[in-house]
Amino acid sequence: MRLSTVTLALLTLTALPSAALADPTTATIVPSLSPDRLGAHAALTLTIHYSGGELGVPAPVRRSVLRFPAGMSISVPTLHSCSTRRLRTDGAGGCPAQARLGGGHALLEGRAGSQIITETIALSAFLGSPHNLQPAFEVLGQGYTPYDQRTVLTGAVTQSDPPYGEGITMTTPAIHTVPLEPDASIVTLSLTVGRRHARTAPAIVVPRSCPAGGFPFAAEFTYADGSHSATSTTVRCPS
Amino acid sequence: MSAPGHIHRLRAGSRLLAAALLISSTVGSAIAPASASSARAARTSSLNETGHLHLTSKHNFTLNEQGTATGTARGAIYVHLTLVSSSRAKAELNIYPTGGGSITGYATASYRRHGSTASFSGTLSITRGSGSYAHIRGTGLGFNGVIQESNKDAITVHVNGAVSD
Amino acid sequence: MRFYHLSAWMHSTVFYHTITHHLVTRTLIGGLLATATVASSTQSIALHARFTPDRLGVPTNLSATGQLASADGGIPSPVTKVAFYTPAGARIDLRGAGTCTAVKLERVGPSACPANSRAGFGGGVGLFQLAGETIREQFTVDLFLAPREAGHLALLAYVRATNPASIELVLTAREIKAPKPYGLGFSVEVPLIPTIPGASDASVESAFITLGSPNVAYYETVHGKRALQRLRGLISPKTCPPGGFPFQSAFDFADGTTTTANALIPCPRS
Repeated sequence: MRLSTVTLALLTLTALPSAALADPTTATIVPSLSPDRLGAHAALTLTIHYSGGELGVPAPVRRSVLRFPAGMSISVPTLHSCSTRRLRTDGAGGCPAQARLGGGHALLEGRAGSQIITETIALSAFLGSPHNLQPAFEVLGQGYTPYDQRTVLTGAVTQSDPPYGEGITMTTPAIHTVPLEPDASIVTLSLTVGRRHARTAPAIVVPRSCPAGGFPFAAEFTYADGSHSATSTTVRCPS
Repeated sequence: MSAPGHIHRLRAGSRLLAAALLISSTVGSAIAPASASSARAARTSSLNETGHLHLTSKHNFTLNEQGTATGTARGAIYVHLTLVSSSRAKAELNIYPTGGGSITGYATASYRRHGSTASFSGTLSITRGSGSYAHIRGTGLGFNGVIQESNKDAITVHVNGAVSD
Repeated sequence: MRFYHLSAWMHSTVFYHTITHHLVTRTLIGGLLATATVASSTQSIALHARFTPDRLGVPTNLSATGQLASADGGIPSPVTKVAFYTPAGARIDLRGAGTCTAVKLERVGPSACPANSRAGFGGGVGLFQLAGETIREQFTVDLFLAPREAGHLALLAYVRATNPASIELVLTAREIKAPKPYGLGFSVEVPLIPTIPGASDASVESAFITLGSPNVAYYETVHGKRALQRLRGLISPKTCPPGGFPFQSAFDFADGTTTTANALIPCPRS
């Protein structure tokens, strides 16, 4: 009887190769403006945190649609661009400094063997070659250890319905680790675009009025496993 | 009662005046090609143009457009529109009226995006011309238009204002 | 400059962590075939392998996948030994690499090994039979460099499965002398791994391995300054013989049979 019970339990547990049940991957966004003042030329910091996924590693994000408050825009006093190809081959040093819009960092995780390998990468945001006159953005991710490699996220400006205004659609390519192991996933990303009080450097222009409830931000994400998630938040109106 | 000698002096004076006018008009005609504005009375007129252009090429932040102008001078029109910042643009405009000659101007404008379109609004200076428009000049002309990204970046441009010729 | 042309005998040592129930895992270590090959009388193996990047004379990754099948459609006999030989000219540059020990792996696990001792990864699906039913379980493999022994390279393979049974194995592999036309050789002996009373010893249905990487780098302090050191690791041969890179692998099974597979990886196009 005991052997039969054990057998039944084993058969119930293991009819197929076991795979941990995966929580869906979700994301949160935390925006902040500095200075936090209406009409100001400011720096916008956006932090995205991904969670869930199989065995604690979020699914890799492939597409992000970020929506910003109506009236918020980016001011670029002098237009210089840097191509995606140049960023991939030469890194940040291959681009004119005037094309740089901001920077930040990200934490990547990838499963290999029994381990989760982590890597911190440096982010640099650049103005890309425009699609006709439509602004394009590129974010270079430069990792050094354990893998010395680059990845470039590309973005284009989009228009959103109220209460949002302009947005950015970002495409994240697959971040390979080693053959036959899963691609790496971004777990957290923090990027600051613009410079405080800047009139001669790129800056985020804060709207001159703030809607009741605060400045709305939203984002939708599409992951490599085909799943989606959406999130939204507000930044309280400047006092 | 004028004496015959007095009349003779008046006639002589008239001939001198006529001679002076003849000399001055001859001199004026001789210098006209080099300095028309100083040698001839400038005429002020109104230039109103509408151009419908399509994209022929682009490079970085510059759109090169070509199309047809209607209005005061009908003919071919070329515009080179360059974004200089996220909110400013500059342009070179050339019109080739069907009757011959050309009109060239330079503009600066504010630039603003609205979803899939963008608009620009500023002022244009006519700096040179050729043929029948060799003397055309103007500053502060209105220069505005729309870029339709949904229509392969086609541009509609309006120019209006006073020019001298 | 230290280059290791692998050429020594293999020894394997198996360490078990507790647990009542074991599921069999087998580790296939080796760079293998572009085509499926000769089978023994009862087992067949379909092997695929490649270099990434696929270029001559550069730091590279060697990855391989294997699918085992039994001629009678049942579970393949457990693997007891694997040997493989890589193309002549492939070499290993270990400047900047660290090492780990079997004791650390057994006591603590992969987190005890320095990051620059990582040599590769792998995994697969193990299986066994119980009361006529086939039970499958995924397993993972972590490969680390071990201290050299008598000048010969040694690798540690940490094999782990977690569900439905938890198992940890540490196998130690050493160099093998490779006959022509091969260069590097590895061999690992794999002990039989009992599962549960009344069930078959564990076997392997599929496995993969990925060795080396062209862009591995670690920070080291050199002359008081922190500098990024790149590990060259596995380096592909500088020349490719006509027809492609030759690979050979031999598998011994618990039923006494042997399967030898030969294949060629096509030469790089450029």
